[in-house]
Amino acid sequence: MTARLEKTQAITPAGGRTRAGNRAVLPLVLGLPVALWQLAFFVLPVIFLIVITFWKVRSFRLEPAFDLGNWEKVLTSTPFQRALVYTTEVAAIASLLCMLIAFPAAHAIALGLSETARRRWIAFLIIPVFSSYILKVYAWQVVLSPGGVVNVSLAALGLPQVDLLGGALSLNIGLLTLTLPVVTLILTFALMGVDRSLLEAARNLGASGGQVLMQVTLPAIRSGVGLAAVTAFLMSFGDYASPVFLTGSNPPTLSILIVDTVKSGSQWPRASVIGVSMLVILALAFVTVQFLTQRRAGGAR
Amino acid sequence: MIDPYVRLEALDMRYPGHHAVKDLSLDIAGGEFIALMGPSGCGKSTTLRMIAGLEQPTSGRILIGGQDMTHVSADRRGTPMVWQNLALFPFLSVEDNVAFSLKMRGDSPASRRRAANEWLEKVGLGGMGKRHISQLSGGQRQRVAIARALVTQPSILLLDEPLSALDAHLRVHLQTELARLHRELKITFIYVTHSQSEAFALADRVVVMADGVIQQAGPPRAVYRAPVNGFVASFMGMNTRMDGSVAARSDGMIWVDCPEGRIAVPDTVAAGPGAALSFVIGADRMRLLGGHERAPEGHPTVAGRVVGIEFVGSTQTIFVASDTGRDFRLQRLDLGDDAVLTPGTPVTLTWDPRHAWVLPHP
Repeated sequence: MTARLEKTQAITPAGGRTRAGNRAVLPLVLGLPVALWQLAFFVLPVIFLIVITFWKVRSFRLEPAFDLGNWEKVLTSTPFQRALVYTTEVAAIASLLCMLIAFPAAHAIALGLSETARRRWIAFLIIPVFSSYILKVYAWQVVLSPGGVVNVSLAALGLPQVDLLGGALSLNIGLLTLTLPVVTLILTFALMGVDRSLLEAARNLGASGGQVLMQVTLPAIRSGVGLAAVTAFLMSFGDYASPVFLTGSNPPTLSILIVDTVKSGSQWPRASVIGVSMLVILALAFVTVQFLTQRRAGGAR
Repeated sequence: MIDPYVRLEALDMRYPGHHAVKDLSLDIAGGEFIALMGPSGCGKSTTLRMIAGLEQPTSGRILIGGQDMTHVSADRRGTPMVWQNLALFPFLSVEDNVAFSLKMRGDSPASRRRAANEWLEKVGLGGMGKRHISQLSGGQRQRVAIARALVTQPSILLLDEPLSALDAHLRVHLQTELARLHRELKITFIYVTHSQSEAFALADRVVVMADGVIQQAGPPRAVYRAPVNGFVASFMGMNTRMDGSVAARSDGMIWVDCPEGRIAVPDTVAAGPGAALSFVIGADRMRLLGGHERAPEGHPTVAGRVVGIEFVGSTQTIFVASDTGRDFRLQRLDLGDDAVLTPGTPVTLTWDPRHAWVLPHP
């Protein structure tokens, strides 16, 4: 305490300005590469994407213009509206399922296991994140297809065949393959950050197991839960592989609609409209969840 | 003690590779302020956590108010605790923190609010109920933690080093507050601390633990003046321990041969000639002999040199290394003569032999 005070005093009179200047510059320099990367490969493409939505296509060629017709055409078209509702529904259901499956697992990993076992489980969850998702969805297709592993096994047992591919079951299996490890990890890390003595204090003050969960654990990791939910939603909403491989693009999601729009007549501007709409919805979902989970974190003001 | 309120019967707690509490039995009277003290790892916190039901003893029984609580879960024990790190809920207001246990048992919002604010008033935080925990100072948070534990009007309060995170000034202030609460509420306080001064200032009875075993239990004064063994003597700190062998017995005194000479101590133990014997002399019982002053007949004298002086307000502790190489401590009122007691100054120590205490178990 005293030593630190002396240090500050020693710096201020002589080289105060230079040091303060360095202090402001250094983080900027360190953060610059990532900032430039984000600018070049996210901000600029998004701006370009927005610009394109106003362009025109004439004889399969893009032409710069300011035409609101693309927006009008897409937003009022039935396929777009259906795909929008369907995609939102799919993403919401998949996120809910994901949270319901991930939370108990994360709770057990973070609060119920020994240090060593916890480290093993975390590694076990990280590895799938680094293996190819497309490959896994393709594998699911093989497993679930009419001639796939499940049906062949059923036939061997003399049981009737089941139609697994296409529909909500296979789609959710695919989306959970994508989201479950990530969401479980986010919740695990959030729960690991909870001060254990808070949970003990709650027990000590007469809270039952359920009350500890609802009154202390969940409020304590509110922003972690929000982040996990929004991540599940974001990943499911924008996914392309699962709907294509596991439901055969039927009904189409917004991602599939983008591809179809480009393929049929090089309608880049209209595809861009769908893309921008998706970004807006994701941004809205993100902001809403942030608002809901951070609202009371700052306390009474 | 005819009717103990809390009874710990042969409590044993084993963790893999660590035997934290060994066959511990202790009776605590209703309304008693008892302090469990000892160095870290001595088992005092584990004992407290077992009373609260946060740890399940490997064997033994815990009775509270005559009821066997050993297998009752923590949320049904009615043994609220004040945590060292306070463990206040950061996402709740001050009022909601205090009212937490009332909400858990299903009281109505109105009565919860009333009770919480009543308690906030009692701990000197009236009108702060709507504030957020992060807006309070360390001392105020401490008071919230105390109010939160007491709001259900329990018959027992557990405190796990509740003041150790505070600065010295606040600590003394809150000690007074805790003593007042204990006087007014007349409930049982079980207080875990490693601080001798806290335990002595507050407790009716202190329990000194080491290595999972109770070394000594008794009123602070008795433990301080009459430690049962070398561990308790050195844990109490403010004394000098001497060792020697028994030379003779006469007139209710034992004469002990020490490197410092033949020294008399009260005859309180059965020890034959030649037996090894240890005794302690409280630092406040020691005296410095003046320049030409002679020690009274029969009072031992030890020559040495001043090593250093420490001030604690109006008292000072003088550290002396004897010519025989032993460290002596002397505590007295600050006489303002420290200018002549610089390190290296030769001095002669003396004490009344009746004030020496022979350790029953070295």
